[in-house]
Amino acid sequence: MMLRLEEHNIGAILPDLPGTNESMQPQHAMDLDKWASALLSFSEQAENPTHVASFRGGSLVDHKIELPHWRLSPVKGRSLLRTMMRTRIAADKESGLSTSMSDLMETAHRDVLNLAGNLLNPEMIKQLDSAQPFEFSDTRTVRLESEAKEADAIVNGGPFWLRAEPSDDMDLVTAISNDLIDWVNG
Amino acid sequence: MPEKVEITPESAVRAVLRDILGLDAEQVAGFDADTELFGALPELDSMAVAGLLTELEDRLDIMIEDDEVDGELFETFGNLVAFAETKAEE
Repeated sequence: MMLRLEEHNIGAILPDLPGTNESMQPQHAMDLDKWASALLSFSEQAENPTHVASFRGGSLVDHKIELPHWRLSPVKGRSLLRTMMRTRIAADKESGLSTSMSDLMETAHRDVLNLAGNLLNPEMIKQLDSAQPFEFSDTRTVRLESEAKEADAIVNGGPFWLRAEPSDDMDLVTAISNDLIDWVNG
Repeated sequence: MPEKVEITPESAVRAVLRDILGLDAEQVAGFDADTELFGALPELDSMAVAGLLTELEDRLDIMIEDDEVDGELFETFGNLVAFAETKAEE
């Protein structure tokens, strides 16, 4: 997608969040507010950024940057949290443990919780549980047809982020890239 | 926001099965009440169930509790649709 933007003379940077990939920060010390602040300071150091584009949960941490926002299938924090909890419950079940969502929530109030390989501290869990994408008046929201939700534009294609096995869908990439390019070029 | 697509519990269940399991639209369109799911679809494992439940919650604006989920729920397409319809009416 970034290559397609480049072909239209739109430079793009995809930052790693603190606590992810090669970051020196420990993952369990992160929360949504810290990520939003990190993205703000990143945008202040970048060379004349003009727009912000986020996918899914990225829309929960992009709001501190005061630039026009474009979002693909923004998601509530609670949906991400419940999927991660259910994944943990399913993994526990396969190892013969019986865990419930309320047990996990109780632990999450005092300890770092490992959900699907993500180490989440109590503050992160609390923020995820209530986080909603912050809507600005100039936010452009793009969704997939199957989501059946309000959007400024609807594209056809499957949500690759829900698949257990990685795959690609070049028609979908083209459709969302074209929407983003048209919007940036205004 | 101008564009909005209406959705029924049954069409939400079909869309979620297609999206989560990566099944093709034709196969999912052929599902009827007796179509077996868990055990019959190799793509439907316990991890896929985790994503499937959250997507149903999100698309139908419902909440599904742990104790409402048992083996029977995923036995057939009909069971899953009936469950989604009951929840959507609550």
